[in-house]
Amino acid sequence: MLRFSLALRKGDFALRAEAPEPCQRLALMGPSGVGKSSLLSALAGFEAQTQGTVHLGDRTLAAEKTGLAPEARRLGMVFQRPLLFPHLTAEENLRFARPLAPPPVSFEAVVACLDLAPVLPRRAHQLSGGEAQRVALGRALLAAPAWLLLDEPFANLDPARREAALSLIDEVVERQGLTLVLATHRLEEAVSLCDHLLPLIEEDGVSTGTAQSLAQALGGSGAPTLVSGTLREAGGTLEFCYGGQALRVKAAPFLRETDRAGPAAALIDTHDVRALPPGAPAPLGCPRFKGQRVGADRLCYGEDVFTLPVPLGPGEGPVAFTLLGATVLPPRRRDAVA
Amino acid sequence: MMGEVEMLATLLSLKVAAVAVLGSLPLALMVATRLARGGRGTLILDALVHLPLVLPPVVVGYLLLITLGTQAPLGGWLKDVLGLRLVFHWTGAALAAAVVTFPFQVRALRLALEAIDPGLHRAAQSLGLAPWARFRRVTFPLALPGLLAGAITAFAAALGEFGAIMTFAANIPGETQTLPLAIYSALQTPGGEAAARRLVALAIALALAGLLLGESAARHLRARTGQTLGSFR
Repeated sequence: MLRFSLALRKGDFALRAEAPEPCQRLALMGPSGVGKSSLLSALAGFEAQTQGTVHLGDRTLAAEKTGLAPEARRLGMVFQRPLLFPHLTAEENLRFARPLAPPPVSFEAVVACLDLAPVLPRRAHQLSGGEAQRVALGRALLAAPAWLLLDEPFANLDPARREAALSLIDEVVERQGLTLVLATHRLEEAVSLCDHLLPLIEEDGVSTGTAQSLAQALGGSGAPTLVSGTLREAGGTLEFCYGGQALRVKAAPFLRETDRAGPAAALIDTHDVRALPPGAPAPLGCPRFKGQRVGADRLCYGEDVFTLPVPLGPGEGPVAFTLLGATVLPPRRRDAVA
Repeated sequence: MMGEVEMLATLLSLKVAAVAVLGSLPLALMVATRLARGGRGTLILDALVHLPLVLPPVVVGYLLLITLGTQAPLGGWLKDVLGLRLVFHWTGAALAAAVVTFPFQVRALRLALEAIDPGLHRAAQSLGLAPWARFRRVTFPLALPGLLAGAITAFAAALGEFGAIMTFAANIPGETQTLPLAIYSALQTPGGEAAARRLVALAIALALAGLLLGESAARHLRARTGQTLGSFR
């Protein structure tokens, strides 16, 4: 269980984030550059300019002015880059940590789950991005961590391996009662693995966020829903609500600000929209949630409200939606989409 | 055929160069680590380290003489208390060679250390490694190609050191007369050209072997890690 309240200032960048209630599975979400990685770094103890407190279970990792060194925090960390040791093979990287406690999963289980057997004898520079990412994840799990801090751990993985890695983390966290902090762009991953969400939003030059339960963060079904920070490129927030047979996505101010001169445009990928089964509540505490993809692969509007038609079968009631991402288009691509 | 003078000079040169390089290696590693970390004082330290490279070797020898000569306070103390006399002794020749070739070692090591991704230190920390373990298991193996390249360049340069050794340790056959000093003496002796030519050939062969060995070892190590930097160049 993790509880923290942190403030970090690095040059022009400032961050304030807190999780006042203890949470076991926390997702950090927000647009690129808002400070998800910095927050993970601060929690791990890498940022010297951090002030605040971090409690993990009954251990105090950081108090106002002092904090444990990162190596004493029993981390299981996956960074944005794999950061494998280049002078060692993949196997030596996996066995690099020499923890005092037995790791939560065996070496063999990690190799099998993450499909690493063929790459074990290779050195880091001989691995593809996805392979290196999987080795990094395995290495973190085999360090017998007290908590996992994962920064976009599935970013380079193909769908099947992403699913396997997700299952492995879910299982390890569940079985060992580990605490998980996951930085991600994809709401689907947050919903699958986490029970709390910390949306980071930049306000007046300061990135701020407070952890809340997923139920609070996403809202119940039947009410307009607010999802924060799922935009991949331009940054910002999208508000969306559903009603009848259309998903209405309301552009947040950033859209208007990105281009005051002309109409704002956005592209929403069908992969990023999930429809829940009719009548089902929002996907809370429902790992492995798989929704049905909604048609219409693109939309662009000059208005504040986007409308995405949703095909409903006869007799189907209100449908809840999860919007997982949207891409704001640069001006030159607008015509192509329109 | 190698005469006694050539044999003595060659063996002495190898001994002096090896002691000079190995003896200054720990200090070079410390200085390079400090320089690679950057921050305050780096500029001054960097300039001081490189000073022997731009000063005439005779000046280095003279500075050593006035600080470590038996008449100097520090040199006198070393002689009286520790019984250590550097002047007119092969250890003095090794010290002079070490000072002159120190920049080669520091430079190669610094480049190698700076080429290490700082993220790797964080990764090692996240895996529970304390500072010494991080140095031993991450920094040192990754800096090894640079260390080797620097050490061998310094070794080859130490073999050829003349001015500093001549000024500080003098030119005593069998004690401080390394290859270049022996060549110089041979040239000063009437009819010594043949001996000088043999010594010159030896010096070239030794220096070339050292450079080739160092570069190929560093290449091999770099290829293992996929590194592209860390050479002494």
